[in-house]
Amino acid sequence: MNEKIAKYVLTYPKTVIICSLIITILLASGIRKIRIDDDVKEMLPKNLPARLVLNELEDIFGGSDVLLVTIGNEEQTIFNKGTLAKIIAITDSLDALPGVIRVTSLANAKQIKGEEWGLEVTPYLEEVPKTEDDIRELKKTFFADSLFVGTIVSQNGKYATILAVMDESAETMAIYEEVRQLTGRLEGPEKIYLGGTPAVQAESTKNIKADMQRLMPFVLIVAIILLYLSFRTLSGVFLPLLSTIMGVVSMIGLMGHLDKPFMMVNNVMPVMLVAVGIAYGIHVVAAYYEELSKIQDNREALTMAIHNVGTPVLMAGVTTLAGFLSLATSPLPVFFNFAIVIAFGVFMVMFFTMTMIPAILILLPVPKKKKIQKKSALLDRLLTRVANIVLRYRYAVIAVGILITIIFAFGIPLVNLEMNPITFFPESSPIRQADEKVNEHLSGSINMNILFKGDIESPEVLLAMDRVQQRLEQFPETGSTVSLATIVKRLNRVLNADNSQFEKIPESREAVAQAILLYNMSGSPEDFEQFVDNSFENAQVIAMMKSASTKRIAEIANAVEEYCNTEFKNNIEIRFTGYSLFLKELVQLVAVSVGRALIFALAIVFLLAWLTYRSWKIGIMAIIPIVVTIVFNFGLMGFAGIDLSIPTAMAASIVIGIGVDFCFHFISRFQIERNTNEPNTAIVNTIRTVGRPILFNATATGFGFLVLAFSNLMPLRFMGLLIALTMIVCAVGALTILAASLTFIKTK
Amino acid sequence: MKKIITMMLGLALFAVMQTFNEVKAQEKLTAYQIIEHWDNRTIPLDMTSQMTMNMIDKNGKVRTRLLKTYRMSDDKQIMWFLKPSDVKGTSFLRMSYDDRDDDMWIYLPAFGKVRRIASHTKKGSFMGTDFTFEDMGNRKLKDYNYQLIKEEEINGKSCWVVESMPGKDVITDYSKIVSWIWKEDYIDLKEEYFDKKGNLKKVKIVEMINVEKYWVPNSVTMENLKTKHKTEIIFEEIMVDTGLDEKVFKSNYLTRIN
Repeated sequence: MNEKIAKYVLTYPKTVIICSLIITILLASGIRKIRIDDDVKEMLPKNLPARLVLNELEDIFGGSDVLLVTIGNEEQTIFNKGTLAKIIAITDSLDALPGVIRVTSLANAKQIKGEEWGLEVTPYLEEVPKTEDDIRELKKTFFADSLFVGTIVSQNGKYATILAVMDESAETMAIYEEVRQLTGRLEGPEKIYLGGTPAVQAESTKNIKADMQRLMPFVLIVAIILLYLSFRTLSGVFLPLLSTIMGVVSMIGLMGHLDKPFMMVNNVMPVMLVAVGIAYGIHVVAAYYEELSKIQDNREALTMAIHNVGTPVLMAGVTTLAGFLSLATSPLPVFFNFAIVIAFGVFMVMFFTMTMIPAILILLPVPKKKKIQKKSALLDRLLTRVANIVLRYRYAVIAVGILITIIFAFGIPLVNLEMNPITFFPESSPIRQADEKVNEHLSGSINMNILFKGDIESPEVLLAMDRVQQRLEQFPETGSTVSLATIVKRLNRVLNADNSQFEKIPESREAVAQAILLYNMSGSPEDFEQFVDNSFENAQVIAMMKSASTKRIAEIANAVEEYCNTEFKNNIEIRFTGYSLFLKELVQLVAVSVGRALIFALAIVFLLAWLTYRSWKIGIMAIIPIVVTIVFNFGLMGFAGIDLSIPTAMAASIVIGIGVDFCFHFISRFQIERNTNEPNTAIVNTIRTVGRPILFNATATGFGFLVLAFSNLMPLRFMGLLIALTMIVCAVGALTILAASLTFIKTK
Repeated sequence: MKKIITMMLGLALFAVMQTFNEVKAQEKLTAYQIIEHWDNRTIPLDMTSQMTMNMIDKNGKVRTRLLKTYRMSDDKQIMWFLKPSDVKGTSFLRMSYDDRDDDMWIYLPAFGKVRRIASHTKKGSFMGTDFTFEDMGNRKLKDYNYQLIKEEEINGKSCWVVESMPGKDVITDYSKIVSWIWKEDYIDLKEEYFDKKGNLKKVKIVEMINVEKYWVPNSVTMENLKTKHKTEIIFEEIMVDTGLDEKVFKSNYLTRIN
């Protein structure tokens, strides 16, 4: 097959080049259609419980995501004309935005007031108070009333929050940008912070976009440096770079054509493909230069080069594809999409490398005779030493390998199954600061929703709601809770001469129904929309949480759920949902996905090695360095406290995809050496010959991934560091542990 | 003779022309005049009825309430809940005035005591329905600017379509109301309510019935397009001009179920 490719490519080079360019342009045209979308709801399979409950809840109440605009500063309270006017302005602007269902703030929250003659439900602040006395009065009323203290105005009066609930189909990004522009104009002397899940999502989308533009130049610089170090010729740098870039744009274009959402982790794809693709280019160009030093004829040298590298590059490609495609076994679309798209990218780079590079090379004048590169004496000495150690202390080498594996294995249970989206951002980022402010002064920025189904107007259900709220509020992470029960309690008190002893759910159903009727007539039925549906069959408790830790929130939800199960009869259905609980299920699926993908990858590597080398023992040996690498990767995450997020979870699979090549490379060479030498010499020769390219490849790829350290998003930074470190471990593992174990193979 | 005939003919022509002009003038009523007619249309002196309120949610689920109502002209109204049992005995009294806000009282048997409802709550819901007090009350003629936008038939009844825009200082929930006013009796058969963002928020459909010499509503449906929730009010056992005693419309009557 290699011959056929070579013949065709070298006979019709121009056609090959033009076709490659056309394919690239057609695929790349999809880049314009790229949809950046980091919506976690889209990440989960449609039939997952958390998603079903959330869908149901959003169906009933229109939406659940809360955007928080927090205004204030340390110098003064918000009770001054300027700030109050701004709160009104922000409230009105938010209210007018399409996609915002309802807004709650000091500017429209209502006070339920018992009057001698009846009941009054009035907004605290309808217009900016005219006099200082009015402002003092407002402050007094607000704090005396206590219903909203801590939720829309902080205890110390210095900060106020405007909460906007988003429609389930709202254009989060557009709304966020609009609110940012608006608040930007209003800022000063007060500071304005934007928080809540819509802000987190919008910031994450923005940073993904920024990363896309920021990381690519760095990746290319690293690639150019590596290519220059390898070849020091223009075509040697330019051609692998070209085929890789063409592969990258084709791959990203495909995402656009397929309308797959571009998520945070997809930013890794260009980096990955460059790291992988450059290596293929290096192989082909190096083989060409090598042949050229022996053969004068350009065409013949190219034919030989294609013949020689065709199979190894294909082999490397297949193992890499196996590693990456193992992620497609995940039930999570994000993994599946990532896997098929990156696999397509790898295929395209392989294709361009094997066709377009030779096609261009045959059209170019024959380069001047290439100087044989001086091999680094230092590296050679080092590799010889390694070879000797492996031979002399092979048991020790294996023992050390096992010891390291065991030590790092203890780190694995420490891996934090945690997906706190707030921690995705650096500490200095505005979103982190907003979160801290809201957690410090107000009731938190991440909402949890508890859906109640049943006869909502019955005192029994309302009492259950009230008790769930009380139970929730026992946790320090709970900022505030509010529901229909909160309002009914207040109404009961107000209707009973404002006697605080009556701040409880009334005992009779009649009293509940009549209190609600009165409120409807005095206030506005829209005030209830967020708490209960029209037929009083579904209600929700909205809890604002000061922590976005999936682990902690899940613990709280479980504790409250258990409380419900023991306390209430089964005629009330209570279900928990919210962003954090959603992420909790997501992170669990991520863990399962990764586990499955790794086992799948190991099985594939084992089978490939077994089939290729016709020995199951070699199959097992091939996966030993891979197992060590996986254990090291997750152990390191556990010890270093790196949370298991989608990118960090993928690191191991990526390293395997690339690292398997090291093992195959090593075993292939060992087999060849074994044909002419006795085993010990074969090992030494193998380490000395393939050690250099393996270490070079690992270092180069590692450096490529280190570019991710420049990302704006923490999980990508961690992922870059993890891959760089693990890649080295994998390479060293192949050169030591694999080598040592191969010495145990007796004759065939 | 010839002259006389010419004069007669001229007069006749003039008369015909005049009639024509009058007919034209009637057809060419200004939007304000239409609304004025609507405001002054003949209504019963008093009316008693049973009112069924069906509150229907977006899934078609219905909650029903039954009330007994008395009203006198269009400014006094009292009603008692008969069903369901949890609000039975709850009653409501409303008195409207030309020159000031309405007075409203409510009696909740579970809490005793007749209470007033703050008169400025136009957004408040009439008995928990999709009708607000603003929708149920009479709009003050001077508060709005009117424009006749077109003429249209509704169920075979030809209507003027008038747009009402609130004046600057008018307290209202709406930015615009479009009314289909039946030419025959100056009664609104349909109204569209636009919210402050300019979106169509609610639609009211009225069906009329002839009771004695009056056209009175037989059913009124208000649909909230945002929440997809609607309320259907059906009037039954309608009796008009029975000579109701004015003292029924006093707050002490709220606690009595007739």
